Amino acid sequence: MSWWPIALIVFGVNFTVWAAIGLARLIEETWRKRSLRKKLQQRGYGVEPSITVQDVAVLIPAHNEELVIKDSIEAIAALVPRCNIHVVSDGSTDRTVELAQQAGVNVISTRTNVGKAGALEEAIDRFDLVDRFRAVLLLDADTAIQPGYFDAALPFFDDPKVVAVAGAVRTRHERGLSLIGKVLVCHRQRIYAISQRLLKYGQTWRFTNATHIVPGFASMYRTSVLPYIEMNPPGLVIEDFNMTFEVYAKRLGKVAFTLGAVAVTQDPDNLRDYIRQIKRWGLGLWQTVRRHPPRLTLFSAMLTVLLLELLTSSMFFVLLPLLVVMLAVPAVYPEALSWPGLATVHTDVAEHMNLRVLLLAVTGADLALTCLVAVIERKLRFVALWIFFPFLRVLDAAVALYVFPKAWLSSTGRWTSPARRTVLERPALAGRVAVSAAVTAPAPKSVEWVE
Amino acid sequence: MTKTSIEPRRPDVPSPGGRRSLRLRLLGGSAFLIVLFLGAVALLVTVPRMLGSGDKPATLVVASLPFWNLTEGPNILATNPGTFNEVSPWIYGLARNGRIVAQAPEVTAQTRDGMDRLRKLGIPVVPSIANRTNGQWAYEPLADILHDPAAMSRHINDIVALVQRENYAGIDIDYEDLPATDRQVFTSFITDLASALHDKGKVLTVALFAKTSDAGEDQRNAGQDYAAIGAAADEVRLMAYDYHWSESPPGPVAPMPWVRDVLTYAKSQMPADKIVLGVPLSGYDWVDGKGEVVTWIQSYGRTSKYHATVQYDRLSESPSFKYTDEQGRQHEVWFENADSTALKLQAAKAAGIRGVYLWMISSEDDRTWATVRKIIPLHPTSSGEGTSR
Repeated sequence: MSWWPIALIVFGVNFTVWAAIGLARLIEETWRKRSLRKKLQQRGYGVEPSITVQDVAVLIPAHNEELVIKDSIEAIAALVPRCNIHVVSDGSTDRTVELAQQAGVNVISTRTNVGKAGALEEAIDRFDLVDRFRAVLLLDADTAIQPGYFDAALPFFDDPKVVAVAGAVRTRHERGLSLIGKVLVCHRQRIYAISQRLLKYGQTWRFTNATHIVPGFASMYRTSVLPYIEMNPPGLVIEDFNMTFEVYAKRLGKVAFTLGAVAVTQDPDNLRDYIRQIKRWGLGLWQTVRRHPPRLTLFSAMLTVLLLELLTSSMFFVLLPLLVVMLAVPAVYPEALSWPGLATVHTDVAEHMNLRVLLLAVTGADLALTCLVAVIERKLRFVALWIFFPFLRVLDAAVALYVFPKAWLSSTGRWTSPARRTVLERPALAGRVAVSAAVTAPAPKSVEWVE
Repeated sequence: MTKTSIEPRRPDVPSPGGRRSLRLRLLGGSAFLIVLFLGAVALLVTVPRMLGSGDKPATLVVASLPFWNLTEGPNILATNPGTFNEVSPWIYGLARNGRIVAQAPEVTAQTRDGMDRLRKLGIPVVPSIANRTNGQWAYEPLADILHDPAAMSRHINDIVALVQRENYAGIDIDYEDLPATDRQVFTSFITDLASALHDKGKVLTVALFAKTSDAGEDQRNAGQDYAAIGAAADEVRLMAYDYHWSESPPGPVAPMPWVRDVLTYAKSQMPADKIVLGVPLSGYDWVDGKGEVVTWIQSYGRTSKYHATVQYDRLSESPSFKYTDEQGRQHEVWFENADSTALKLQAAKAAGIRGVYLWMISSEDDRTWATVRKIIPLHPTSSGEGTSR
């Protein structure tokens, strides 16, 4: 087997296809904007979006967020009027509610502990957001909206077909992280950087409209579609995949995305939290796919190819260590081939693979991705850590396959993710006060699954 | 299609039919997920196989027949129709003056008879010329040819005349043990010979030492430019054997990991459809630090005579055994059988190269030919097309 099919699996078929479409979008939009601006200047108009920040409600679900809630509110209050900000506390046992009230924003508490999706649903109803506002920004307490977010995102709502604008996610890179923390955070930023440019940008062109995720912690929805979206179906461990799939399944409209609407979030800095998080994302994805059978739409076609590659590359990455061991051990210890069965498998594998070609193809293609990210982010640290990323991809792959059958374990009746019941203590991070996350599920950061 | 000015309202309370439709949806989604999973497994299993076997299946099986086996050899070809589509009798050598002569003048009658019988089989005949003089490998006659432009063009004319006179399909050049300094002249000789033969509609095949890098292990490796010869010749026959040979310590003649590396390197230097892998059929019996060539029949005879047990080494994929002879000397034998041959044929097939040549046909494992037909089946019409390009 030659190197290039392995390299393609590692680099990604979906990336290659959607990046090409993204390039078309870049060219088309640059050209269109230039001609539009010229036209507007000739007629003496300014460009004023039809929805302004006055029309945007901010909704922050919170569970025991006393350490960050005040700062979060102050940060977002710099961008939208204070009376537009709404906090819904779900089962908080600390001073979250009191601090939010002191900050002068709208605050309610859920009557019983209902989870994040339930809290959002209840808050939209009780605050009457659908009637009072034209758009709602769903925001997590540990996520920081960057200045310029609304300027970049709101004009998309001028197109009446656009019902959601996905935010561009960045991970916060704190100083003083351990090596594993650095690796995890860089790995996550690598995924964000690549998948948002090579995947989502092409998927959300006005001619394409087929993206699998509108991140549920930093994105805006047009309020008029919310009543049509089933936000809190029983059994789902995360809500944002499902909200996205609902938009497409019910043909509610288009999803827009711009790299200019940036939200900075915090990602796990230790292996335990990281694995817990990707388990929940993976399970949430499979559960959501199970709830939404495919149709004859571009979205379903996109999803089929995306998931097929996610599964194929996951299987490949899970098999990769086995393949390497299979090829390397007999080369060093020939006697290993006398173990029953091994010789036959080794022959089969050696027929199609060569250790050098395999390793060069995997590390080469992965390093190409890393270098791309280093250029995009203008940060050399990605290149410095290049050797670790393939190992994390093996981990991601193993978890994605591990949680796959669990999509069937919660089929009927009300089932709540165990994660929502456990209080996860996020460890204190240097330079930032500890965030205690959540019975309400520590806001699942939207996932860009395929890498 | 898109509802944009939607009246805000609560979705209806799920109707009794809602549960059933949810169940249907879950069923559809489950089926989708399962199909995706199976599809991914299928992709992972089939794609490497499709790519691994190359675009074109191996289509060439060459029988190398040594001059000492021209009595029995043609019978093997006759009784195994559809197994070979090219035959290379190893019969020509060089005289001291550089002229092409029979390697073994003492068996001229048998050679002539054997060649006649080969021609009647309808399989293209591409005889080999080796730089052997009076039964020994010799450098001097060849050096005189390569370093004198007049002698070189005379030699090329001799070869073309021989091929035309005898109506061969082409010629196989087996010039061995050149020093590294002959790299350029050997390349230009092959290039000129190829164009002279091509002008007459004949093919040129060249046997090269197996190596895994350009420099190789030795002078003789450095003397052979894979890329240049691969560009000029129609077939490049890789001598992927004698990894352990008569002068070396005992060991497998063609260990599989090395064979695979040789193929990988060759494919990086020349088009895959010119590469023909040499598959050995004989081995060596080492005693007192020296190896003697043994056929499969001889090996088999010695295992039963000395009650030796054959071991099969799974790393090199080679059979071997040890025994003590009547004089009390310890022997170690590494040989080839149908199982070890099968692995080499599979490697050639998986590499997507042109084919194999079997070196040499002489008292081999009797299961060998069925194995060859099974692993590299020749299309009925491809028999007789071995040398056509």
